[in-house]
Amino acid sequence: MIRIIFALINVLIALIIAPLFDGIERKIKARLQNRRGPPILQTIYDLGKLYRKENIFLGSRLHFITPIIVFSNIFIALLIIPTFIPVSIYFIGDIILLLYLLSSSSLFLVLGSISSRNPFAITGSNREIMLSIGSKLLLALSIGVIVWNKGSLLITRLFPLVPPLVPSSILSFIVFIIIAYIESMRLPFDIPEAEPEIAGGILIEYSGPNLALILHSIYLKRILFASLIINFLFYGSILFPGYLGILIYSIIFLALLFIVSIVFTVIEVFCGRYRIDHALKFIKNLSLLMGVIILLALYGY
Amino acid sequence: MHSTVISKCKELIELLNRYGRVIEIHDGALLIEVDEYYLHELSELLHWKLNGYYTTSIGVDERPLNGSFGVYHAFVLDDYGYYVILYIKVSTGLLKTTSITPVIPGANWAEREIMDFLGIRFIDHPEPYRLILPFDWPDGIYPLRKDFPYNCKASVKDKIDEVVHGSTSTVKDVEELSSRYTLVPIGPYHPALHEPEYFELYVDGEKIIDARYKGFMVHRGMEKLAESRLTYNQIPFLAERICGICGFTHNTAYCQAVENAAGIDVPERALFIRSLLLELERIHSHLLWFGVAFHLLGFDTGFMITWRLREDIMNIAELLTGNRKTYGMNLIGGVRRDVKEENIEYIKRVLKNLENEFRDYMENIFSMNELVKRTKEIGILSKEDARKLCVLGPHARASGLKTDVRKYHPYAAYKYVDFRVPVRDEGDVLARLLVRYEEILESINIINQLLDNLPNTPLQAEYDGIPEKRLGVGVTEAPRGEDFHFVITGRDNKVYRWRPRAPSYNNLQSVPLMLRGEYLADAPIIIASIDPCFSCTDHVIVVDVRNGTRKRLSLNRILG
Amino acid sequence: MIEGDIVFLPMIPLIIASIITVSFRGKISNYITSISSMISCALMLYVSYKVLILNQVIRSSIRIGPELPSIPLNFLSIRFLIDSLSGIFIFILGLVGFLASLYSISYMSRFYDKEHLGFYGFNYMVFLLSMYLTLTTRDLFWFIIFWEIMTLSSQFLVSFEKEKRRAVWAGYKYFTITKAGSEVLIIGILLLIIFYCGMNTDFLVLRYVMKPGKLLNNIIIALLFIGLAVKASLTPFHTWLPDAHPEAPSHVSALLSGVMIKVPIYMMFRLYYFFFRPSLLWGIIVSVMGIITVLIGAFYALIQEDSKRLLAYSSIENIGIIILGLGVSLSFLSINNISYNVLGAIALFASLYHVVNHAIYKSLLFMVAGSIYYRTGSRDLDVLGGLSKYMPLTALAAIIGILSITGIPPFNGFTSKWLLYSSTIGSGTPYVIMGILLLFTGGITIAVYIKFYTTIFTRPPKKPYTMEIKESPPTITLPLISLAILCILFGLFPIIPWYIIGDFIQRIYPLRSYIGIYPGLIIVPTISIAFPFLLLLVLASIIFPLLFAIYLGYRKSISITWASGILYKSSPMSVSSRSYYNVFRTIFSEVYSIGDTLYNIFILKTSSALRKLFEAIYYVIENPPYMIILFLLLILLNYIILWEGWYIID
Repeated sequence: MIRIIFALINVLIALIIAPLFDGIERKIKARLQNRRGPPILQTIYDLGKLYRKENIFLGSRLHFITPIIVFSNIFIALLIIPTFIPVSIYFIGDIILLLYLLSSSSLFLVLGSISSRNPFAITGSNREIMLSIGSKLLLALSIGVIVWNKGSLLITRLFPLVPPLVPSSILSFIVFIIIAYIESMRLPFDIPEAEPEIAGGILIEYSGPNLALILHSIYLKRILFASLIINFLFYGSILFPGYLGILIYSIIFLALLFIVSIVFTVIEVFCGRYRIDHALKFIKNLSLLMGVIILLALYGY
Repeated sequence: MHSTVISKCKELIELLNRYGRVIEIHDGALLIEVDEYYLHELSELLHWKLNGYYTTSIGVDERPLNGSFGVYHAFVLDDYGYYVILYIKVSTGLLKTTSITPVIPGANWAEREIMDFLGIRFIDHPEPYRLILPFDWPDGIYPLRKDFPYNCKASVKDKIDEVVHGSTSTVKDVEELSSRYTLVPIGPYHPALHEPEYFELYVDGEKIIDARYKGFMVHRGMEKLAESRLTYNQIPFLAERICGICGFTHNTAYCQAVENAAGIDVPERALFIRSLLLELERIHSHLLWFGVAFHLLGFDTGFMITWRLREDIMNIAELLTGNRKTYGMNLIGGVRRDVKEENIEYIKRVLKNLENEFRDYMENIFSMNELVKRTKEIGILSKEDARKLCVLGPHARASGLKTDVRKYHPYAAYKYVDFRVPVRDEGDVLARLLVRYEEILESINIINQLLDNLPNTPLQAEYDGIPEKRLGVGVTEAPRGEDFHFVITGRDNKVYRWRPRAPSYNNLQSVPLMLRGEYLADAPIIIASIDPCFSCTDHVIVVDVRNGTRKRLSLNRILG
Repeated sequence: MIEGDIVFLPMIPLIIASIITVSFRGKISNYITSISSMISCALMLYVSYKVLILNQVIRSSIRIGPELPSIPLNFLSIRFLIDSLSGIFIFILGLVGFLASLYSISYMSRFYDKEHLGFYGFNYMVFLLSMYLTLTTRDLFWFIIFWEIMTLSSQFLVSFEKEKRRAVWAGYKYFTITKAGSEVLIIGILLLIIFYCGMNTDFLVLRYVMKPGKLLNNIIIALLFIGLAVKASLTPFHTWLPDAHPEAPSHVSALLSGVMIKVPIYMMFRLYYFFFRPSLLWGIIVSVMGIITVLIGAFYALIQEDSKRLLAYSSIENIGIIILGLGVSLSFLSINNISYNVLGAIALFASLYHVVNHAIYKSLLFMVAGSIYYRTGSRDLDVLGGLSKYMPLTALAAIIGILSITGIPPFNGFTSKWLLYSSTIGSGTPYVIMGILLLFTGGITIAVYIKFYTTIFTRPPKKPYTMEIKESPPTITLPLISLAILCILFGLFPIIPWYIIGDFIQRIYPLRSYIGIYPGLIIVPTISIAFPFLLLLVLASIIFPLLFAIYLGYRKSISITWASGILYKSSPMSVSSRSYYNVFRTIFSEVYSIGDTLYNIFILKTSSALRKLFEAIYYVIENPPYMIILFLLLILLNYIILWEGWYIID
């Protein structure tokens, strides 16, 4: 029972931390471009403002309902991975549930966006689907190798990565980091949302609370992937006993999240945007590489 | 150089004499009054055979002067260093004349404009649709005629037709297109555009099949205003506001046109100062354009960097003229303010820093693989198409056409400085980027030369009023291409006809051609690569028309 | 075990009605067909209830000729056996058949004046009858006969619209390919007869009769498997399905996709688990064929522009999943290790669960496509669009079907796919690769169905409709809604499918003690887990959104789609289905050109090779000396075979 409470606390912290981190990222980006940038709490202010605005209904119920479904999918996904407090709700095979929740959140986002009938939204959704198929393949491949090497489908048993110190695990972890970057809607992969090109893409017809929910889901997804990366590296190695130990752990976790976030931001500053076919070629090449890694894994390396 | 020019001029005059009476209206410009019959032949001769190019057409209501309408077609002959203007009288009764668009596709818009504003019909024009007047402007009222007062409100038509009509000559049937492909509207409000214009793209998934352009949404009615209300010396200030980024070139071109018409000799120091400011404006405009291009490619960091560099230029401008933009320095016959000695060192130092930093950044940026991949072999305009559509400026130079007003028809102080004209052959977006990059470096070079050699003369010429009924042509090389101003002087210190033609007018016609077959994601960068300045293009006449659906805004104030 | 004449119950309405209905042409014939099929299918459900729930095994036989003990041929009496395996498939047949027949009452009204409905009705009922008989007979000989009748009658159903060239051609292609498959099947059966059972082709005689490892057995199994694979449309034999299924009337497509391609699956289960034993070799072969089928089906479904063709390719993909599960279970159950056996049993459960699930949601989707065809007259995705306003019930059913087939929790598709993932990825064997590829195709399936749903229901049509569109009549929407409800039920309460399938599985391996079945999820193997949480998890994904959506709905304002400042024009601005994913197609063009490459290799080259062979034969025939030599060689060959052949049997 207490596990459920802790898991919920995890998610609630993540809900607040996600926009805060986005604000920090914007500040860092600005500084790197010789600007001052907005205040750190700006994203929280933006989300708060959006939640209070009115919603706009375009005549399509699907379009109207999907943001909350997207949000709740990511919400549930956060429940099953350990983040700030190293407990989560787990059961056999939950890594697959995690992957399905992620794909179902993409599915609903795209469904809702296409239902708005806007040609920009449809173009953006097409790109999002194609990108997500590609990253799904990569994700399946890299998670598959890690599962093979660790021998379990249970998420908590997959962390940390290292006890079988094999090259294939490490290589697929590196690919996983790249996937985390692709899924986090950052340049060079923010193709579905490309603002100058298609005027907002999948987000174009959303406003008010719906837009807030989708943006919040995007930020939460970043936290989710970053948490997975940190868990792969450090899970279980910095535990201290008692409630104080949990507090220390969550502070350290927060700091590590911060570092991951900064690293990604710095990469983002120096990149232009990919066109969709370049991005797909990139993913295709990466998956061929993953094929080689799988062979390595099968042979025990 | 002068003697070869004279002999070439004699050759030219002999050639042209067969077609009609040739007058030299001033140094570097010839006028031939021709009959409609010779129009095609002559156009072909001038545009294709003599390696010149068509630049624009102007329609004038000359009924108070000689009882008919006049249509002037202007051609530029780089090899001879001359402008040749064909003048055709159109009778009031028939109101029609031959179109040269079948021979020169680039004349499409100019002729339609004359159709809209003066009511002259062009026979054989492939697309005789409305270009500039809005869809609810009533038929039969032609704003540029002398009997239409500038402050009259025309009543709006009751029936509102289809919004999109008026197209370029490269479009297939709309019905068929929209039933098979998707219509993606870029504009009038779109984050990729700075000013309202409308590109209608027909896409198949991510590939663009065809494109249509409908612009002219930023009309401000400057020509009519200038004719009706403003004096010669007030017009420069109006001309400067044609565009926020390239205002000073319009300004200078107009002054040159009037000075040429009236035969006024501008003192040398003024010429040097004019060139200095023109080059500053060029650097500033190109840096701005780089920022926009990077932003459209998704590379926001580049955007921030180039705009920061631009701040230095604007500071220099403020030092010299008192304003960061919209300098307000020109008058007929000279400039208003001087360049102080103590500022010259400062300017040179700032420019040197700028050059180093800029070069550094650009070398880094051009080695970024993903930016190069997004600009190489995208939006190609071949040399023949560029010729046919008469594109100008860096756009033309990136497609292999060697044309630069500063070199071939030197004006202001350009005959005293030495510089290169960068030309590239590929014709893609990367070529346009590189051409502008090199132009910035050349401009810095020119400014240094100018500052080193400032002559000591007065700043303004003395003259006794401006004679009427004279024609004048003033041309400058704006950052975007050749800026062509045509002036007919009038009475009471007013112009009779003023026709500014911005370079984007010609360049925009090539956009639909370049967009075909490209990816949708590349559309904004292709459109932006010609450096469109829609406010320059759209300044043409519109009287105050109340239009309930759209408010006309010029976003240039925000940019400047 | 009951000597049950109950077996015959479902047959009676069909036999009687099929004879009556031929004499009518129009409406009456349709009603006779539909209603008697409904009665018959309800009876089939009753039979399956008895078998599955009440755990009875029913045997019976019927004699159609005099008993002649001197002729050891069995074709004078047809013997029946319904055990737990057949029960599953009869359940599907009854369910889908019932709803399809209900559907056809309104649906066929489109054709009242155009086609001879009596002929259709006859074929329809013979089709149902033959499927039932194929599933219940326990005699290989009669099995083949009913199998052929099934093919024949369904072929007439496929080319139902006689005027359309495409339909006739599709039927022809279907028939020829499956007939070729049945020939292979017959050769296999002949070998079985020769070497194992003689003229007594009863299943019980053949039980476990083949031992693994012998070359002869492998040949027989290969032949039988190929014959069945053709009918089940596994790659590379799947080419008839994308042509045949779209052309048939929609409820027939539902039956074809939902039930008929499961009949060979049934026989495969019989083959591998009844006549043979699980073996590693065959497990690998079967699962490799399965995964290739999955990939081909998914990739090709992505580029289709015809709604039913898209569904047909998706059926191919799902059959691949079922076969993959079968293969995995064969491999794991053949290894002598408990944890592998458990995984194998899970894969078996997944496979059969998927059979049931697929029957439900594929028939749902085909009926949705049919409902749309009924109202708009079109299947072309480029023409359709914007229907969710006019046909809300159909749209709702479609959404549920799509969520199920793409495997979104908590619908039924998720559970069966999830079981398969657990058994492959969690196995620690090279099967992990197959699990990964399966995950990948899960992503592609999502894209496929997004295209399906959005081109039909949400985006506006390219040209406005010329006819008035409203919701379909209740006899069409009722089956849709019932199937949708079943999807939700089977997903939320996996204990229900367990009741259907579990009996068979328990006989193969006692799986129930290893897995926990909870609402919404099946936990494998058991681990202590807060049961309330699972409920929370599943409900949270439905109720929480609904509540919030209602809240959101209070503060809303109405507006229209923004189109960059100009007026939104629905027709030109909507995206045609061809434009979907075309970048994907260019990047993965290698996959899509496989068909052409294989055509080049197999068809063109083999046909030229065959031509050379025929030319050689003609040459020989025209030259007597060569003929004599050939003749002598043939005699020698026969002698060798007959002499040496006996050694192989040992």
